[in-house]
Amino acid sequence: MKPRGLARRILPVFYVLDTSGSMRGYAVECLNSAMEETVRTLKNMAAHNGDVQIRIAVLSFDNEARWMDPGVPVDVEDFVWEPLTAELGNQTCMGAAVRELNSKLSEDAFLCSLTGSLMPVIVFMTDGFASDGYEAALEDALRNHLFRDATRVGFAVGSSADVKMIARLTGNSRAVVRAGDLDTFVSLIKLVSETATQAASLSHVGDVGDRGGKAVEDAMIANDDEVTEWIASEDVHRGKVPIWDMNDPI
Amino acid sequence: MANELRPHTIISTMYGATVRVLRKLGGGGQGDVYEVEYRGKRKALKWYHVNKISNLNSFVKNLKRNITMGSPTQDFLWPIDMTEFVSGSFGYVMDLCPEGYEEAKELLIGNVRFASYRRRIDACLNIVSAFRILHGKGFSYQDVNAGNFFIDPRTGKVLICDNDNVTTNGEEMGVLGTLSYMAPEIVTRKSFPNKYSDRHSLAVLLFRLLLGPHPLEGARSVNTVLDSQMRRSLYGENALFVMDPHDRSNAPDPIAQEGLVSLWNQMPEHLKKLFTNAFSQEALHDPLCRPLEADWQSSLARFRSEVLTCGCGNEVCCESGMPVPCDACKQLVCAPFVAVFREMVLPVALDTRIYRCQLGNPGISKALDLVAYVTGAIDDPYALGLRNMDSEPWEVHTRWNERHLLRQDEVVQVEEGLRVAMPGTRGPVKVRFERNAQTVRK
Repeated sequence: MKPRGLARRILPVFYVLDTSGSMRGYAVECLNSAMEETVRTLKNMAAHNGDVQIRIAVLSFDNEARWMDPGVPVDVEDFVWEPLTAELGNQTCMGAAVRELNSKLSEDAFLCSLTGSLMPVIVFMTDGFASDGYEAALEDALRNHLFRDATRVGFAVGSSADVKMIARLTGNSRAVVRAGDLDTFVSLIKLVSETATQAASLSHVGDVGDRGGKAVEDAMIANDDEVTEWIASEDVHRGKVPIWDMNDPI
Repeated sequence: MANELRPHTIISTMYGATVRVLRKLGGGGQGDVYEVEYRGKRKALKWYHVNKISNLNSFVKNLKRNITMGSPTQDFLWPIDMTEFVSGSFGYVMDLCPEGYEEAKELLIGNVRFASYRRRIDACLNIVSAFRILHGKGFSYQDVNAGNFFIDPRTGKVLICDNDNVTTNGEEMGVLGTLSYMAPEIVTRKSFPNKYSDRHSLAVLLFRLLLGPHPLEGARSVNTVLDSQMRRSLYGENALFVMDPHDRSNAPDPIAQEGLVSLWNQMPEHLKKLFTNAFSQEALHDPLCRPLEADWQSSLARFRSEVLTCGCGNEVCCESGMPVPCDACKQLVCAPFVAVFREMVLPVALDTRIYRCQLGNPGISKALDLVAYVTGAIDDPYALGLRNMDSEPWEVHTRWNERHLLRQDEVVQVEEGLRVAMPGTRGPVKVRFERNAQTVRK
């Protein structure tokens, strides 16, 4: 007789990504490369995290919002990043994206699972201002506890991004990452995805708190070169220490 | 040639400087390369055969953009300035390739040899790191082939040239590449070069640098005439990996390619798996399924740590620190110590390296930073020391349970029971050192 492994809880991770006209060219290609590596990071995490199955779904938006193939959250193990494109002149319809995401955030739609689903992670990214009224869509979404209690983090990329909008979408200004340029965004999206996913996979029912803000904070600490907690004691040597060869190895 | 530049010709550039032609260094399909004087320094000038450029306007626009954006890393011989048009032609200025660097082609043929197999791996690591950064910035290279890489065989350092075709991923520059390095979808003209075809070409280059032969030239390519139709089938629609585990019909020829199988068998499993994935039927025909540069980077960094030198001078791979008989002298090669990480075990011997990408998931530009290096002692041939190469201190626990901080450039003797906490991207990474079974000091 062999005991069956524990059924793994589903952890849905949603990306809501801006592909408006201003993202055309290098920007969207940087986004694609960064997301390929982010998916790889999440695959590694899933491989070492036995009790959670990470499922990804990607919603990109410009004049409208659309899901990346296959259009439902899939196990990160089987997920293939389809490169996004951005067309000149396209708008930033964040409202449409929030509406679309909210319509799928229910136990009957994307969060349907026999083994139970954890509260989702939602990652927003934009480099501009919404060209439709996103406020009404957000108000609607906030009535859905699966949106409200999700671990929400957001990226405002570049100098012309609406930081206030991202703060309202995440419900917390601490959950907003201001990436002055794409390079910063590229290095942070991986870390934030990792910390947010970690936070969500450890969360319990009722433990709503401020996971988005905490995740961003954790990522910032990890990204910082300073390591905060190190014991400070003096060097101690015992016995005879050999004379080491210090010729530069490289 | 009509547009050949004479010595002492002076041409002005986009940034208002001038180049003075000194001598011709070489020629290629797209143009010739000259040594020039530029802002008081010796530089190289690539002078185009303009009739070889299909869309001149967009080519010049792209070149200008690359110049203003600047080099992604120091590993690229990046264009730094562009000349004006003189008698219908023009060129760009870049750094000269320094002494000691050889064309990768020469290293593949064997005219020049690497100082050691570890230097080969170093070269591969440097190549994938440079491409990880290039692709991360939204560029694609378009024409990866051995002719575009200069490698210093003594150090494994790499310089990547011909960056005039580098462009935003997805833009067409009219370049298709070099047939044997082209991805199948480019050979069959289903697509133009992009980041994904770069990844196939990179895998071909890595395979050739580490194993020698071309990964798609097996039994099907020997005893036959490699005419253009045959080559299109070999690299294009019928591409099949020589080591494909499911279809052996293109396996290496037992006589003509006898060395390949034994070399392949010495590769660590993690690297074999990566090559098998990169040249699987799925990845050959679906560009989105190819391994990322980050995958190569972590596997190669691990491989780098697993290669040890036998007493006879031959290098062998001790995967996960396991002792292995040397394929040259048959002696057992065994690292004196092993370093036990949470997810892997590495042998510890002279010149073992630990890179930052082995301690978590650092920023792209920091991935290849050397964090730890195993050094020897001048006065004790049996002592091994672990040197902190990082600016962050480590917490060290000796086997006597003494704790102390090890700062940059300080060394701790490697002993049974030594524990070190190195700062990783997600908190300290704990490493335990153990004496390896069957110690033979090399």
